[in-house]
Amino acid sequence: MSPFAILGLPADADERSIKQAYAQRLRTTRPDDDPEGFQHLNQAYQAALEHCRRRAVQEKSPEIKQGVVRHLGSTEIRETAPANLKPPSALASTRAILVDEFCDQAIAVASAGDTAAMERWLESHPALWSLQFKTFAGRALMHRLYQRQPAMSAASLALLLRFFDLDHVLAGHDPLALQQLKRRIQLAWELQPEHRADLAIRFHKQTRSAQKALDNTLSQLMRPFRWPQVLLSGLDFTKPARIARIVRQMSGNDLSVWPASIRPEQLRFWLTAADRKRVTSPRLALGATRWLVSMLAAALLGAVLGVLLSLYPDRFTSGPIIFLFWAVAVAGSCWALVMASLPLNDWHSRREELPVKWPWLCLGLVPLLCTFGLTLQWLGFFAAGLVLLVPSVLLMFSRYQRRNGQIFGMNRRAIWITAVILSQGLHGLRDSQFAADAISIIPLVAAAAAMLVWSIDLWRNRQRLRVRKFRR
Amino acid sequence: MIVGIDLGTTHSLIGCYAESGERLFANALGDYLTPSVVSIDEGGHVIVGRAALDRMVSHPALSVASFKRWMGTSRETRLGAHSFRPEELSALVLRSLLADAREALAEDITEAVISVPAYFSDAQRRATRAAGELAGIRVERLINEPTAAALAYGFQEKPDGSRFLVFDLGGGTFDVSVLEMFDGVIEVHASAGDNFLGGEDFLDLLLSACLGDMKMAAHAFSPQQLGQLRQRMETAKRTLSTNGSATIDAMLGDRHIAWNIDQDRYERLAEPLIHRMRAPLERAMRDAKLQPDQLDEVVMVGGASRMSLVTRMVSRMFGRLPLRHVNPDQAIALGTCVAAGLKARDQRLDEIILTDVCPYTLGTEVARRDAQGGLQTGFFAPIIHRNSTVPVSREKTYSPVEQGQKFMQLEIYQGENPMVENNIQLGELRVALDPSRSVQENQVTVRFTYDINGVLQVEALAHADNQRYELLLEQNPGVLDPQQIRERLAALEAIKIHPRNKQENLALLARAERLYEEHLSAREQLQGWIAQFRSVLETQDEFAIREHQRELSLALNTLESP
Repeated sequence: MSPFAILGLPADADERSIKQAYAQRLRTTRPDDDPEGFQHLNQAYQAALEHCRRRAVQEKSPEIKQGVVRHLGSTEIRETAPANLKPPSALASTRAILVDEFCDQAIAVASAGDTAAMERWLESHPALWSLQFKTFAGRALMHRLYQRQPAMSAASLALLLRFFDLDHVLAGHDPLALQQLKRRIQLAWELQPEHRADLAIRFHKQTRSAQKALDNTLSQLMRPFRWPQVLLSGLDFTKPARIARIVRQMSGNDLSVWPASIRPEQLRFWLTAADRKRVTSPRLALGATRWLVSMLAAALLGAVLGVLLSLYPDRFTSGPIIFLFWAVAVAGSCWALVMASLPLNDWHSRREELPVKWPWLCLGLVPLLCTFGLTLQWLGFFAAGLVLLVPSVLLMFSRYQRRNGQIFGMNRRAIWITAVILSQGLHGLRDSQFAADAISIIPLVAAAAAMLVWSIDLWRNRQRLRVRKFRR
Repeated sequence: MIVGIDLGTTHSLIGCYAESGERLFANALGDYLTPSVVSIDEGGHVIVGRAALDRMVSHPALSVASFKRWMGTSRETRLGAHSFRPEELSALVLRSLLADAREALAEDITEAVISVPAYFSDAQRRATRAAGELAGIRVERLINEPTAAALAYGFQEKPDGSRFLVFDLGGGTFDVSVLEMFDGVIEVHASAGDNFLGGEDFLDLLLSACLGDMKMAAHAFSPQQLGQLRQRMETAKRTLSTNGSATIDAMLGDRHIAWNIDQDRYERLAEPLIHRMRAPLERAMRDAKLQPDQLDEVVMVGGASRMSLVTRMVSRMFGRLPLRHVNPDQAIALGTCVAAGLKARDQRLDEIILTDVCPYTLGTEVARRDAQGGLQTGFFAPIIHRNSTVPVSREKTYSPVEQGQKFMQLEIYQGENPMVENNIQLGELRVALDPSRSVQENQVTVRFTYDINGVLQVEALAHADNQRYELLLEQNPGVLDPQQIRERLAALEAIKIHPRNKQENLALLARAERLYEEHLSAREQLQGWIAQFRSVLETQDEFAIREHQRELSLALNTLESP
């Protein structure tokens, strides 16, 4: 039912007759006697009035139908037409210029940082006593803030928003966007060198070491991105994690709050490098650099030792040199293995709900590896069998843990401790007959364990197996 | 008979809608304005009104004023052996007012309409109702103060088809309402306000300026002396607006205070307060979608609106001279009387219908996902927008944040800030969900209903199992529950209150005691008078008391007039 029909009026009724009809119907539908009926009537009344006013505006100046677009320098403001809108005229354009000038001034005053002076300036500004101008200026200012995101202290921004009554829930701004804008403006202000102390206070980094870490992080992030510098400073193992921690603390997951003075390439590089779950180019680059540098250092040390060996052959042996190279090489290849296995493990232990490439292979990888490994064993290739069987056990345990939360109620540390104790026990028994037997049945035990865990995992995920969907 | 009561921060009034129209009742001293001050005397009797105001100077530890500002909190004030909540102090004032009404009407009163600042919160409104119950009456309706003032104005002037703004600056609160009157309908378009801005703040300003000039700290004075200085400032504030300057020349203990202030300086001092009034005015105009030139009249009520600098600010803002209601102190009380007549369905008021608004936004807390998919919490999602015409009922549907959520916690807030941490929490409601269902199936519809008395009801409906939940807002710590009200009522009954016919003597004694504190030179004389009057009172000889009363009051008058 149209609002006009509820009021018993034709659709072209004017404001006066709407009010008359409303007043008449109110006598039988009083707000205290019939709350629901009144609400219904009041809604119709408000809607009819709104309709009537919009029609009046449209009739007055047909060109406003699409809303008024005014150009304020580079700013474009779309204004919803108020009831008494004057047609765009010389007056409007002078007002636009005035507003433009005012916004620049207001931002300049606010950026100076003296809130008391700013309050005085705003309160004594004669044009702002006009309600119309103030509303208009507030809207333009908001637009300007979103566009330029100038650096301002939190207090200045709060004062500005409060003065123009922009910081309330019905002001028509998206609260999330406003919150991000506030964070951005405040961060830009606090990143200025003279306001660093405010930043340190806000994030509780007031001890000397914390402050130093903060300063180091920020200066690193403000440098232009150059590979040599980044790789060199990444030689410090703790650096990616440290930078990532500070960045996350200050901006959460939302990297868009960082002002332009912080290089986005730097942010991306360090955050990706700190992510231990994925194999990424920053991680590979940093790892390779670290390994190369250690090799170089080892070579240098080796050269020195070599010289010493040739000078005092009776006091030095070549043992340490070989050991050094071995250690660096083993560490490097371990790291490379881990890097290589990460994507494999990630693919293999993806939760059942998430889509994955080659779902059949993902499901059957462990049984496949076990079968091949045991076949190789049976054919007599003992070592080759182990190379397939041991990783399959590791992969399966990882898969189980990631997909089902825990391994039989044990956490990661407990598993490590058990593994170490077991290996030590085997090591102690290595010369006995029992040990020889044990070693010969290791492949079998490994295959059995992998298959057992695999079946438990399959059983626990039986409801959501992704391969079932493919069949349907 | 339903009475209308204006329960103000500094003064309270009572009246009703009689045959001759609005009628106010005078108190025992013949004044319409009863100061909202409560004091306890040495015998444990409660004193209310003028006498208690005088005792603020002589016995500050046993007296309390401005307790309307604490309504809705659980703050307790200790007076002698008793400890009172703000509701109870208000109830004591109400009892004194009701005694005056009983005297005038010669009938028992059980129902009342009480006016509250438009910007009073839910807890403050509940506290006002509780105060009525503690005073032994049923509060039929709470009416917003500016709406009451508009009723009084509209009823007198009958400005049909006009829009006007009511500017109400009382002792402790500031309220603005934009209204329209047509065809017997008084429609409130918007209300805004500041619950902590009023004449008292201007007084504090003068007091601190004076102490600053004299290079004295407030804690260097005894409470008696401060009370005395405050009362002198009140007089100075009044003379400032009429004479353009004011002088204070007093002895406080052994310190001589001679201080002068002119209008210019006062205006400079009061500038921050004046600017604080701009925000509610602007918001009310913006919410009513009106420009200043679309208003037909600006009506000023409330005692503090007499100050010339307030008038100047209003004229500057609206480009016109505001209309001062005949008596700004009584406008709200008169309007409340009309509202009482409306409530009683008085035949002569049948052609008037009043529609009011809910002055603040009510809503719930929500979480949002940002562009990166991160969860951002603490946003305020409005359900009932401010300045919706009441009664109003609105509903919205919310989804759980994550799949498998076991319950949804609805946090109910009142306020205007986009972040809930800056708003007032009214209560919370926990709705059980079915974790096995999807997010869409687990939605919850929340309905807010705000009735004509400003009481909020919250209902939630879980879609998964069609279970209904209802929120009881009485659990607020600032609000008494019915059981507590019964207990407190019994405790209040036990407190002795001086009978009404003794009020005059009490006021005289309190005044003499105040003058004793203020006039160092005449102390011995005053002491003699007080002792004499007390002994005459003990004889209980009506004639002698009457005689003595007249003499003493004449003597005090000559002492007080310079």
